[in-house]
Amino acid sequence: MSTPPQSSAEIYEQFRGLITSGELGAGERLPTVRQVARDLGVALGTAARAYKMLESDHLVVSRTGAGTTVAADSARLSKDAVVQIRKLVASARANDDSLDDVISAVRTAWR
Amino acid sequence: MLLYNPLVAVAVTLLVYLATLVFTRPVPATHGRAFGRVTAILLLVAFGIPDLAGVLRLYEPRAYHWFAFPLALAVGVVVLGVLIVTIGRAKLSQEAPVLPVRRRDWWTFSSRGQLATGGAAFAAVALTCIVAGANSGWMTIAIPNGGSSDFFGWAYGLPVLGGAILVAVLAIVALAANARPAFARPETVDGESEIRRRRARLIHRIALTSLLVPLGAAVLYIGDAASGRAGVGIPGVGDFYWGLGFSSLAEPLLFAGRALQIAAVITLFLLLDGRPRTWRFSSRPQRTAAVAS
Repeated sequence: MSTPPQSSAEIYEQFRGLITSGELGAGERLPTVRQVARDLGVALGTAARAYKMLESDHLVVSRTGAGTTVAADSARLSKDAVVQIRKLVASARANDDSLDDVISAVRTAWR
Repeated sequence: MLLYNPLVAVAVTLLVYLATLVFTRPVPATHGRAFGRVTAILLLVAFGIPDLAGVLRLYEPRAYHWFAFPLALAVGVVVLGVLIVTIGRAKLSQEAPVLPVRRRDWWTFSSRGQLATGGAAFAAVALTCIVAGANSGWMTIAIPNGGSSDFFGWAYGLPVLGGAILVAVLAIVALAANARPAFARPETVDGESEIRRRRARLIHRIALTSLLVPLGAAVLYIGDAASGRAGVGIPGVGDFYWGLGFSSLAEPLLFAGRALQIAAVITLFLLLDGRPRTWRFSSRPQRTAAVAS
């Protein structure tokens, strides 16, 4: 994420990348349109258009009251798995565990 | 009840605080320590003023004083208000926009334990005020077959309930103000998140202590009323006494009230120190220590 997205197409591309790479899990809530606009310093309409594009590509689902969530079919991993992976990474970093050791332990646990 | 004795309560408070110091260790932190210290001192003063004023005979101890219970809540409201203004006025320079991956809500930087404890403390204060008020008069509770006892009625309950609602609302506003700003740069997200977590912890501690102080005092006062009795003397037969309908709960209420006050004072001591604490005896060996040896 070297250059911050400024257009709705760029914002769409970045979120699409996060969903298809597994960084965002199925059913996970996306930030609000307002938060995306504020954090990126873009107009509210720009962020809203990006969300519309994600929705029309069936990458996300928007429901009144529930916000925008990653569509079940588009994500590589479940929300639970993604949340656990984030916790694992944070815990490993806090304990100075190496990435190789963690991956090796995950592979062992997988068997 | 042994814990009702103020000296025993002070001794237990010190013992529990010492145990906290022994079993946990401070994590180096500078953020918000001065603010936490000032708040802790103000809350300690608010905690002690009603008793101190009574001891010094500055007012009639049994007369109605609205501030006797919600003083700590008033301090909490002011401090949280100042904190909201401080967070809102902080100049945050966004050097490189960061695409937000996760939604930031008011609860994002709080732990489940902090949210549960705060919610439980607020619910306990609200329930105590409502149940006590609904089952008593404005300031007294009737003793069956005659007489009445001073009680935590609506006269005390309403200011406490109002103050508790204000503290809860302001704590949520402060947490939201803490979570809202965009991060400065992608590389600083972790560091900034840690600062926000520490600020959220400070907000929780301020709100929790502001709620625990009046809750402990209210439960103690209700327990005190429960141990009151009315009586009648019949010449040649003897004296007969009877208590309130919930007099059997007097001891547990007195114990709970004192325990809540002890918890409030220990939280204040921790706020005074200002550093977050973690368990001292971890089950995992310290890698850095192992390398050093």
